[in-house]
Amino acid sequence: MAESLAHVVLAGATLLAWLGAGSLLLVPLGTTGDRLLDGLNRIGVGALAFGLATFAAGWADALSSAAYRGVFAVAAGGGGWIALGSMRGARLPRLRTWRPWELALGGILVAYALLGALATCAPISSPDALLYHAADPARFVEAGRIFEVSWNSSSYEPFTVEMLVLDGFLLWDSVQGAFAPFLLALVAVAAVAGAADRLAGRSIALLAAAVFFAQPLMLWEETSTFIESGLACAVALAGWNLLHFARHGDRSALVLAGLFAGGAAGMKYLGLIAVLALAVAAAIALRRRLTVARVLAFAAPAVLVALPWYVKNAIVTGNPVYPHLFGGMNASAAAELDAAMASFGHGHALVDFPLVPFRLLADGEAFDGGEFLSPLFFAFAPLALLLPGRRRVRIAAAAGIAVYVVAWFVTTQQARFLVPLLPALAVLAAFGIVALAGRARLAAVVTVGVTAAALLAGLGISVVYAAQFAPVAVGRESEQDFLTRKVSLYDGIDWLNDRLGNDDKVLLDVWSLLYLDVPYVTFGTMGDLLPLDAGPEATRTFVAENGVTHVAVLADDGARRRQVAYLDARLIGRVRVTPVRSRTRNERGPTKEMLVYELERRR
Amino acid sequence: MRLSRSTNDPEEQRDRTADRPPNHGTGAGHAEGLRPERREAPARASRAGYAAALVWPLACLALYAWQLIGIAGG
Repeated sequence: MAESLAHVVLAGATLLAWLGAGSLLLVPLGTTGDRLLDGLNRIGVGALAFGLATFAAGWADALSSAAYRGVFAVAAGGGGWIALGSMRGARLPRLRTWRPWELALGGILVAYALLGALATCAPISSPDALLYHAADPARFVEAGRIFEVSWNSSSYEPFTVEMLVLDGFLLWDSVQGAFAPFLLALVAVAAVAGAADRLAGRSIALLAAAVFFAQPLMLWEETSTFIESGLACAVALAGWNLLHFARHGDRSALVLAGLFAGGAAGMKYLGLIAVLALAVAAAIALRRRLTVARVLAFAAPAVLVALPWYVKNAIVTGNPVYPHLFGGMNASAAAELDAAMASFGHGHALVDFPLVPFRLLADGEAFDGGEFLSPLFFAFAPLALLLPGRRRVRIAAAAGIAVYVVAWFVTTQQARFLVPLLPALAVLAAFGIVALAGRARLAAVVTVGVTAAALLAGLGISVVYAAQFAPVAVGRESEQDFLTRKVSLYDGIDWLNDRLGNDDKVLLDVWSLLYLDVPYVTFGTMGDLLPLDAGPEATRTFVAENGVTHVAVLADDGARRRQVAYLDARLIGRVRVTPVRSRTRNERGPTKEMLVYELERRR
Repeated sequence: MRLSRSTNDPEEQRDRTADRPPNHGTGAGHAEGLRPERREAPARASRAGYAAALVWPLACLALYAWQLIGIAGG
């Protein structure tokens, strides 16, 4: 329990460190005059700065906990001083003036923040994080430097959020790292509420914040060391700054919007699509005010912030967006990647496109987590696009949404990849809710009923989800028991940690790598390094080049076992392992066997 | 399908004014200036739009509930 509280306190200090760094960097731009926007801009820019500084330090072989903690302390101290100064004279919300339903929405938002903090305090157990979002930062910290992780094509994605996760490792441990996406989600919801408040006041702000944040999808997203909460944060801040520019003509807001757009493109390739959608919407909404200077004020900082990631890829692979567009993987890995991306959803044919909303609502599991997505986006955001007035804004919003959704539909239909779109949809949904509720008494009953039912159902699901992490977070369950329960094939990882040492190097096709303490290499997530059909010569060469001493494969993996047979290897262990089919739903698969071999030439 | 609503937001009102055709104050082209049979068409469309706007959120919630019941039932 004390450890969890310490993680939460350090998470608060992390926000202050981002605020301190961002405040320093934004001195030349001055302030926008909007206190909340200024504060969030500083926090967001500080986070981007920490991410890029860690990236640079990593490639300069200069990752050091001691150095990081020093910088962190100074930045957090500065941020604390600035926060105290900002709070002087700030007006706190006068809750007595809030209507009961506004208080209820505020309460739900606080409850979700607490659930998020609780679940984040548990050891990392999300498969993607165990494979690379947290596993790669762990290896970088151990090595004191960043290096190319050639066996996993996902590690070539822009990694700003992973750099913030790495900062958490430098500060303390993996759990502290997992707080980075959670903190970015908190900044995102503050940006959604702030932008909506400036558009239409407190009621819309609370509704928009609740629609965006108070749903199981966001809770799952922000507590699983995923990246999309960071994307939502960057997109929301870029959007609010564009709105500020539209209303006040403040060019520094355009520069800030560009910085955050570049930040999104520097977090994941998906961010490029989000930036394209944002640019289309902004170009339509502001088309009469577009000048070369204004376009450059947005585009130049965007390119500057995003560029390092694409230049790095161009240098190490020759393809700035590896492994997409210009290829670079072996044929079987590329085919497997394409098949994996296309495997989500119910189809990519033209007829499937208009059915997406209905399928997400009625059969969301095919979209990997689509069942966690709130129905309020579908129920009310379209209504806002039909409201009278602000025609150009409605067209701009519809165009931006269409660009994003079409790109999502034709690439990979994963529900959480819609998260960058949710800030805009949440604000639209809030407008739709208020407009319909104000139409007539029956409309009010329907609107309140649907909204309340969706929020309550979501809260129930979220409590069940977070409750799984409560025992370990409050110290009533051991970390070992939790990991055995939640991490796929953890028994095998544990066995390897017990039997092998730092002088060994294991080659494996098991993906819960964060907790593997032994030096390792994999065949490649998609067979990137050693394709499934590689023959004896290629297998022996691969093993020799990588200094492999042991091989661990699942007994039912016929292709890899055939390749092990090419080697002079001795079976030293048969380990019973249990796959976890869904950690969120506590679904485990039938027990399997992991075979561990020792290569003969080593002895 | 269009929803109507009242607003006290001056900027919103400015926006709405800006979206209207330049002759919006003359009554030309407005429902009030049309013959009864031509005036009823937009009214019917508005009623249909309102009905659709009421049914749509309920349909979304019903589909969502259907999904949750299916998941809970295994």
